[in-house]
Amino acid sequence: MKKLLTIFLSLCLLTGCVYIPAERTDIQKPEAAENTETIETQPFLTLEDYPKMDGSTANLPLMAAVLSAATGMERADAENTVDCTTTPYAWECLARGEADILLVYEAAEDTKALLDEIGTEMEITPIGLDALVFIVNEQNPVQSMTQEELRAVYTGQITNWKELGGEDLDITAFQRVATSGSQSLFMKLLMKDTAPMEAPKEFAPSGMGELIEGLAAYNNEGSALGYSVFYYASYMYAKPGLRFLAVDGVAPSDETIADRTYPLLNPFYVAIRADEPEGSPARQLRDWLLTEEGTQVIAEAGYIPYPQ
Amino acid sequence: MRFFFLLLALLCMTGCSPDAPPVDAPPPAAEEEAAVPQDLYLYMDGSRYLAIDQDGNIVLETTDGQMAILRTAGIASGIAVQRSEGVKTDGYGWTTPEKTWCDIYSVTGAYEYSVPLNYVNLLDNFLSGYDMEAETSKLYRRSDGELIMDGIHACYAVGDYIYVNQNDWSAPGMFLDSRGEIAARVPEDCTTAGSVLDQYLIVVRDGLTGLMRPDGTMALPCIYQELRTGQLGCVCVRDENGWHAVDVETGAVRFSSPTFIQYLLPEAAIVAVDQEKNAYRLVALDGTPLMEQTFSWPSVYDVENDGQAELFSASINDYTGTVVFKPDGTVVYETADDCYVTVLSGETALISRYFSDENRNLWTWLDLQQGTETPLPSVYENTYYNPLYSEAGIEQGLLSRGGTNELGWYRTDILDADGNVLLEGLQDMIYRGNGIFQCRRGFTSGLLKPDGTWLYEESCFSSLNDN
Repeated sequence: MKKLLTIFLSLCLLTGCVYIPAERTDIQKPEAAENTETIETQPFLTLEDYPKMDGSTANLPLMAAVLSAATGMERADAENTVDCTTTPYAWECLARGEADILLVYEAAEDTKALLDEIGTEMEITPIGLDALVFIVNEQNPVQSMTQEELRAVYTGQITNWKELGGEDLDITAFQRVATSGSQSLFMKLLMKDTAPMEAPKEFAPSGMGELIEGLAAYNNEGSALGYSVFYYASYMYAKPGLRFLAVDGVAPSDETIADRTYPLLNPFYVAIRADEPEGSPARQLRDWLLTEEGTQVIAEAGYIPYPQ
Repeated sequence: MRFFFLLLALLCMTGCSPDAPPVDAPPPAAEEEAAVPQDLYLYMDGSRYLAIDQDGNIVLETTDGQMAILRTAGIASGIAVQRSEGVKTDGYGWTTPEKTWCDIYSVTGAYEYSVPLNYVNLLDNFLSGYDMEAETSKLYRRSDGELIMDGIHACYAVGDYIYVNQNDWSAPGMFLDSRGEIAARVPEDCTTAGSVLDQYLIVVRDGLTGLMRPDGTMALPCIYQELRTGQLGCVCVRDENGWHAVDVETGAVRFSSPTFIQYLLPEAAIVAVDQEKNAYRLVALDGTPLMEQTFSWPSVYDVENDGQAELFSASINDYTGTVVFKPDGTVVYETADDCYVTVLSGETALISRYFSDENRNLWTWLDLQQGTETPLPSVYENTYYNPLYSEAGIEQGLLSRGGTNELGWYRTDILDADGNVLLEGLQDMIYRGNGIFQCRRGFTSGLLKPDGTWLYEESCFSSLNDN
């Protein structure tokens, strides 16, 4: 019988009759933990009172979930109602009073310098945990890199995938614009005090016949190496064909982020201006996000709550 | 062993293979969806362009060029993708491509040929555009990409022909037939000044103007001091006796006026009272005034799409009032406010007033039959209403309404000509014609039909460069 079972299982594998999920594209958002009491949120803000919310693209689903929970709006309507100016602009909008509350990722150093210049005092509280993930084409045989190897690639010391056990292909190490949320994590968590090499550039038409030089966008070719944040790249980005690299032998997942075994982690935040009056809608919403109810909404939206 | 084969059979029946389709419930009965006119629709997402057909299929996709749909008489007849390579810096410090060209594709996305042009204009059976390397404008035959003429200046349709010249915008040129063969030439002693009534070329000889047909014969001799386009097969010409509306084919004078004829109607005409002061009047063909007021240069509305004007709107009383009137002088609507009027159909018009002292707009719905106005709701912060425009002009029957929502984000609604909301809360809306809207809704982007179903849809999170 044992022999038959072994043959049967082998047969299954040969015929592909056991579905091994492809990396990333089959990631499902985690189910709510067992034995967790679901807290039903009663709406506590009207739409008219709702503060002007801004933030990072990767937080858009969370913004919709929060709007829905706080006002009782249907989720689909909430998704149609929210929007964002993206990480660097959102921080500036809050500082200048053009937004009241942010759900947002880390600001880049340039953005922090601008905020210092504007001088608006803020209350910034972590509410979720995300990870800097490195992305390759799913056909790339390289499965894992150490942080040291990643830094070596981004400083030009390692230039070919074969040096990492891959194919004989020059590595195209894409980067992001300095003000992007991903770039700020890249610098803070990986590069630290080491300056990366110059990023690949490309020219794009400006619409007036002139070409404007900018950073080349990740193209998912066999030679490509790029990065993003886990939640966005896993659950929001729609295109197939990517795979995450393990870093220091740990593959990024909801589990390895939650238990902090994945090494490149950073919170995302809720932020309001410090002079927000007591009881204002922005302060109410911020305080609610830090409660058990708020944490539950963050988890139900598929994010990893930051332990409060 | 028996158990093994039973299990294997069971697994096969349940389709336990990555290639086997999942077992789904039978699809629900298909609801009747809005039919989409045969056409190609452009979808843009940053530097990514898609050409989508009326069934929502991607006909062509590109990320390394700029795409445009080529249209003949408003119908898609091909696709052009402008591409470039290399980089150079010119004397002004601008960075430009070393080489640009356009790849031409069929409506099904099949590659046809390339032309060395920076952009292409489709004009009947020809493509024209500028060759940046050669620094010259060129004309190609659309059907096979063959170069017809180099160094062109003027290039426009005259009837079923193309008129081109090579030295100067007004230099005498030639008519080309659909194959690019020369049908006729403009004499060397003439200059040219555009086309009128879509079928005649304005030619000037010894300072006097006439009209030429594409076969080279003169429709009107060069005897007029001035010539402007007209209506009803007539052009408006000026001689020493004043202005005349002349039927081009018969030569008959349908109407004469001592002053400029701005618009000719079957039973009336709009003539200048004082052109310098932009003052005009509606008169019968015997010169009898049909309206008391004089008005500014009017907007003309062919609401029945029959080539004739059914309504006009204009400012009156030195831009302190507004009037909407019919060709017989019947005033449909008059107000003491200087408004902006957009006629949407034979029954409705959109009126916009701006109060500068309050810095606010007021939008109203005008019932053209009753002559009554109804304020339009301000559903957003700073609500505005606008007609939609296609390549043919104002899209009758559709209206857009926009403003910022409760959370301060810009949104657009689409209404029909009766003010009923068809689509609500669209983000980043671009009108693609035929009632198709490129937009985002929630976390979905694509091309939306007027019934709210997607012709084409994809996640709005399509770039890893999103933050």
